Amino acid sequence: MLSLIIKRILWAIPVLWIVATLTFVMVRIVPGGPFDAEKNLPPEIVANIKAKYHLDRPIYEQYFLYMGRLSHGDLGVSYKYVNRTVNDILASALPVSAELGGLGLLIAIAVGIPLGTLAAVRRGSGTDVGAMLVATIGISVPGFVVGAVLIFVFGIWLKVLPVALWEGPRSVILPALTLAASPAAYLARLTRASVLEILDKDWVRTARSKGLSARVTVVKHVLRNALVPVITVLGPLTAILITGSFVVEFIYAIPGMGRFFITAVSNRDYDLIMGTTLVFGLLLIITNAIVDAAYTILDPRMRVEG
Amino acid sequence: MTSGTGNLFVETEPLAEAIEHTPPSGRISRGMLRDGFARLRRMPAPFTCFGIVVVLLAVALLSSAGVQFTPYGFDQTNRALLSAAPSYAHPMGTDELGRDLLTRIIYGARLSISIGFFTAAVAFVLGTTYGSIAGYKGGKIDAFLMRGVDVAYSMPDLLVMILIRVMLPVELGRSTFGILLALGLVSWMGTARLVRAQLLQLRHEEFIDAALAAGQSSLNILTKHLLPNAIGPIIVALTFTVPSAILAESTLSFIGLGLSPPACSWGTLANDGWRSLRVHPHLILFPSLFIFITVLSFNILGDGLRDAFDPRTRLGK
Repeated sequence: MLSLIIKRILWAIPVLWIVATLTFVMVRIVPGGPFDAEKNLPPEIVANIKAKYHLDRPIYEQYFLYMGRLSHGDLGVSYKYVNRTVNDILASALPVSAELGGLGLLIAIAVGIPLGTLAAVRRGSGTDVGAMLVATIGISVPGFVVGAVLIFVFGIWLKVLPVALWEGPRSVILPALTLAASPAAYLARLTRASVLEILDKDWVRTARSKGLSARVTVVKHVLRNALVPVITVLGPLTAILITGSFVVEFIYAIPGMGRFFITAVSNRDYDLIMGTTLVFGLLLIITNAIVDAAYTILDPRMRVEG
Repeated sequence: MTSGTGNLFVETEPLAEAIEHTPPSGRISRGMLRDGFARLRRMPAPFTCFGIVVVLLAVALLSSAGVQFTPYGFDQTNRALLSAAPSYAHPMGTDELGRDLLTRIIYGARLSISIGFFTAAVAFVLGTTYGSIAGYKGGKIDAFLMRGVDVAYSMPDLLVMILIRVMLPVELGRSTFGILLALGLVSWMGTARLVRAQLLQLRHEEFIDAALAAGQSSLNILTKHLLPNAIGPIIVALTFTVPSAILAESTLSFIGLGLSPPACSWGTLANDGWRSLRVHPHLILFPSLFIFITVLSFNILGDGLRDAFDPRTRLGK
């Protein structure tokens, strides 16, 4: 199974190469470069800056220069954050986003899966209707609205938590909650549907009729099977978290991957756009590989030689 | 089931329709559609949401047609009333330039709602075509086409949209067209997968063999027999496409990578309001509320339609 994961991760190399090439070419062939925004710079200076970053060379030459450096793990330099390499920026931003994303994911799982299971077990009851109403509201509220409400209530009105920035453990709470809202709701809806399907199975009735309590049946038999589709959404879930991080890091001014990506796009900071995109791509490939591996653990029928 | 008797019995005998419901042929599947909507009418929450959607759509269309709902112009400023709180004259207050917020929200509805519907239309055309080819041809073509969808599907929409935006010239990327292009390109994959799965299931039904034996062309079989029978799930999927497009546009505009002034959508209005959250919370409250109500209505309507077309998932016994 380990070899399966390794095989999938090795696949990452050609995929990332395609992503890098596409982004590289597309970003550069359109008009508008990173130094257009600087006001009234004399053309000589612009030419000098461009020469410094090799932007005056033909595009294929730039491409080979970039790929040459990339193969050594050198992601280039930022044009906007002067004297910072992309590697340096990513090294500082990735842990921040990982902490935020990891905590968000934990909260989402801790809320979403129990809520969905409870709703399914008490199907048709007030609990079910209430839980699904909350979950439907959860997937309908834009992340920035959740953030604005939390900031307004806890930061401005009650003044109990910091409204922004990334300083100390207390400043993690609001961003993590904002990030978790949508995936928690998504997980709750999915878990409910999945558990409902399993509850209909004959072997659940068998488990109950041989005297197992409802609780043991659900926890030991139903959940194990119902969680297979839930695990498979780990991929889309990572996608939701990445998307969420754009918004959350923007509104809380958190120096993570999402915020650097957004500012890089606004500034057309080519190498930084490439660097962040490649990291996001790698992240998605790794989660999808984990999903494939998790399949085989949870459902032995899926086990293939590999 | 003919329409007359069908509608008569629908209220009293929900089972009758299920028993009489015989699948396969273009005509009866239109009846299936009607049955679905008849069931929807008996679901209070989704049907209410359907009403809300109709009202919002009507307001957006009438506003585009030039109907004025408020006595103000959408860009009419009033220096005496900057960032005023809600009042009788301005039920949602005014923004930092003294423009009436309700007027601007109605104006923004045009863009936000048309973006949602346009994206669903693109998803329908692209997704159905792509999915039909994959599902109808099957085999290697199918495997190849679906592998492509899998890769594209696993990318976060917003990441792809932002990258598409970067790849367009600056002015084009910030225009409504740029946003529509980006949304259209990320939104069709779900529909394509769904159409393919439906066709793979239906392809081996007897009525398709019958149509083939009768010498009908592939295109005819696809458009007259296969797609009409898959229309229920397709409609459900499109109902969910509209709110995700509205959410994506507003999020993109909110983080400053979407539309830029003078274009005005609920997302750009929320972005304007965000900057004065501390002092004038109403400026972000009202646009957010409209985004929320619209997206929620579409989601509940979508859930309702799904249950209406597939009674197995219905809440309750």
